[in-house]
Amino acid sequence: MAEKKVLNTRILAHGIQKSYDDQMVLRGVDISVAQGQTLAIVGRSGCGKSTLLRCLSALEEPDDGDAFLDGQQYIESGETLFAPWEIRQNIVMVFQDYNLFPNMTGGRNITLALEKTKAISKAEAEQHARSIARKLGIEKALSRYPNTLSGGQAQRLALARAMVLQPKVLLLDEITSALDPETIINVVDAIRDLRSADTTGELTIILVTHLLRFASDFADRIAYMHDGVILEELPARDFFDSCARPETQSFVSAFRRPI
Amino acid sequence: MGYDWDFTVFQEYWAALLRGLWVTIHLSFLSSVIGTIIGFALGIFYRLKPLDRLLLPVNDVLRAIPMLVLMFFFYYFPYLQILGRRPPSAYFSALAALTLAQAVFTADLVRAAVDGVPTKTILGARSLGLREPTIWRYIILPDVTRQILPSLVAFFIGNIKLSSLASVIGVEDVVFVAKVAVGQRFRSLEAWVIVALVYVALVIPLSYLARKLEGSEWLRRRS
Repeated sequence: MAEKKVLNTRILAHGIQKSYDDQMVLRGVDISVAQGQTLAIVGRSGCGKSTLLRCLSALEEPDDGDAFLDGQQYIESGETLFAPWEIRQNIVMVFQDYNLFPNMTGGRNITLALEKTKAISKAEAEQHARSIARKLGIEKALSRYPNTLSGGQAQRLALARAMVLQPKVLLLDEITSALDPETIINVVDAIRDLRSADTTGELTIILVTHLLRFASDFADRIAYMHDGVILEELPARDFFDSCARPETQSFVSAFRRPI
Repeated sequence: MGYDWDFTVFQEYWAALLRGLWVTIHLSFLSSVIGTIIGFALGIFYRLKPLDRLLLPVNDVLRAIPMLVLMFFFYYFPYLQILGRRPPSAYFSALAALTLAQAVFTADLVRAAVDGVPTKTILGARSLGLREPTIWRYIILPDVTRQILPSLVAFFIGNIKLSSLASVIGVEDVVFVAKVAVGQRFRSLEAWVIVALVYVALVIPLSYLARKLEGSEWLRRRS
């Protein structure tokens, strides 16, 4: 019998609910991602994917639900148990629109949080920045300002800025959605580079994406979200063929059909 | 017909004029700088709820009062009767009035500009685990400064010109010296031409700076 490595659950969420005004966006979401694994969340626009990521990273407070990081509860019945910035030391998010600091060079975009949250020297932070920039192929962006960067470079910079903090969980919120097809490939490659740059093998990623093929290639598991709940979750390689719910099948078939 | 220009009658006033110029410069410079610093603090203070409801109307009232009236207020306030202390000098009264006006105008600009900082930039900062004071210092205030700097330069220019009102309460600035000179030499046109040129010389470099600022790359580094 093949030896099976037991993976610890890194992040676990249960029954996450969130409403805006009278609109219920999350209706009790459960997810569980093991250490070093990647979960891709797919689904139609407006199904609540991004809201879920915001709740997990304490950028929004859910109305109800529990969440645990490495077994430590940090959301209890919708209540955040730590200061939000404490949670975000471990759960870092990257956005569709990069959300870079426009008044700082690429290098400073990377070093600021490193210096402020890890209490390391400026010189050391700059060294880390150069190293991550090299891995992601954006050395030139270090001395430039965000408004002079292409979309692909900007998103790589946003990834570098998040990765250099060595978070336990990286949340990627539709990070390719604002980009043209060629640049998407560029950024997808960057995410792959990130994976291989993670020597500990512990980096856990939850990514929300419209790119089903990338999800099935890159992620370990794919969850299909529909109307505020996760309808089904499957190993990525089985997702296309084994999804059982009609909503999922219809979503998947849209990717197969030529436009 | 024709006017017989004669600037020579003012020869003995040059020294006084230079002293007046110096008063104009530091009166407008000090009030601009101190007022801006206080205004920044006030503008951030006004963001705190429920202070904003209480303080914003006060800010609006103060902004509505003309500069000359503010100067009269600080100069003629019955300090002895109400505060039990000697009244301040005319210079200090004018400085207080100009500083107060600069502060309340800046406060209002800052308050509005904080709302203008793009949410996504702040979210980006939060998502990296930065704490709010750090976000204010490195993200919000630099952006606010970029937003309001052109208006601040316009205020500085306004302060140079408004400082001329201080002569009314007896501050010996350029205008005060000119009034004395006119009273003694009756060469009104020449005197005011000189005064006008002094102000032009003070303001033009700032206008130039403002124009440079408009096109600057630095100012555009906001999303």
